[in-house]
Amino acid sequence: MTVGDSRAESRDDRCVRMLTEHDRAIRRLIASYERDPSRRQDLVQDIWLAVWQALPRFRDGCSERTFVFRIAHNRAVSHIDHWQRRRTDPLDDDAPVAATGPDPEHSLSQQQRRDRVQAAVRELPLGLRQVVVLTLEGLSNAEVADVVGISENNVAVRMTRARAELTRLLGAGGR
Amino acid sequence: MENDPELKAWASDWQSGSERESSAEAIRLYAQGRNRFMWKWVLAELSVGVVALPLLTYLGWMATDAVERWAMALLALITMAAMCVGWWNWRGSLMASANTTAEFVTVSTERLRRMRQAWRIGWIVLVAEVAVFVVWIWNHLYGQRVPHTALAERFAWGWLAVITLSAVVFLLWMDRRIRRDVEKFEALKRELL
Repeated sequence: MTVGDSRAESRDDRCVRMLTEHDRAIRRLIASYERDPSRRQDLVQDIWLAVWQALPRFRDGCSERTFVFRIAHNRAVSHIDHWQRRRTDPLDDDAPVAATGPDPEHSLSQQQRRDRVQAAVRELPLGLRQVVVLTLEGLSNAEVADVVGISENNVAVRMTRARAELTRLLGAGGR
Repeated sequence: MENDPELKAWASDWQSGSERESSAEAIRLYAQGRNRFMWKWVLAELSVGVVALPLLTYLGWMATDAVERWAMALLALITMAAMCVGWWNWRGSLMASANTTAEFVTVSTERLRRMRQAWRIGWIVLVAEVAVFVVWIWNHLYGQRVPHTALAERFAWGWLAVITLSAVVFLLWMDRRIRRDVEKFEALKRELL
């Protein structure tokens, strides 16, 4: 979508499009901050509202993805006290159970791998976790630096530390 | 990530989730509904001010007694201050669009410091308000040589005690909450930046 197209879109339509496009990413991001499913849904809705309210101030200086991730992280950070209180919750009870792929065995192992990666990411300290989550979502170091507000060098340093920590948590080979 | 197959594999696993997807209609309805609710809240606060301020001005204007006039002026001032704080607080809820998480945490911490200042001013306003109401009630009950019942006397002092106690409880609760939030954001700042 070009800048001209996005300006022609109404605020409602643009906001809804941005949120539906990044809905899965937002939910994955939130899963790294909040384990309780009902609080997670509250946080998703907080993010919808924050994006809706912030949209008039969105300038095309950054990508829509960076804009949505920035708001999602900011909301998640202000929600963090709930997460800290609930970090001992035993498991995610809304984790998908049914395998969705054509090969159930393959899908199950993929689901298990995903759950392990999510659990390992949740164990990371906040400063590392934020950088890892954005990197796993496919953002470049420059984009991560743009969202978090630290230098690219700092992102690289944190990523190195986070990577070592993830390797330790996920075991040799990491998968 | 391109040169790091392990990280690439983790990213692939991370993104392989089959999480629920939100429907466009659900997002639209929620955002519109909450946005309308927030605007209604702000308008309700403004409406209270719009009704209270002319009423207090009228009562102050009509009062023949200086104490009565001062009391009405002070109440009008408190109403205006409450409206301003309400508006400022509401504006604060829009901060999530701060340019970076670092900026967001810094602005949040600063905002809490300002709330702490507002909290200190709250104590001063409460003391001033209680002082004015003591004089006002005293003036009504004993200064105007108008006979009053014991019930009216008990009601007046009881009302002031309840209002003062409620304000003190609210300010103590605010203090606890602000302290907790300042500590939380300071810790986040240390961890994130």
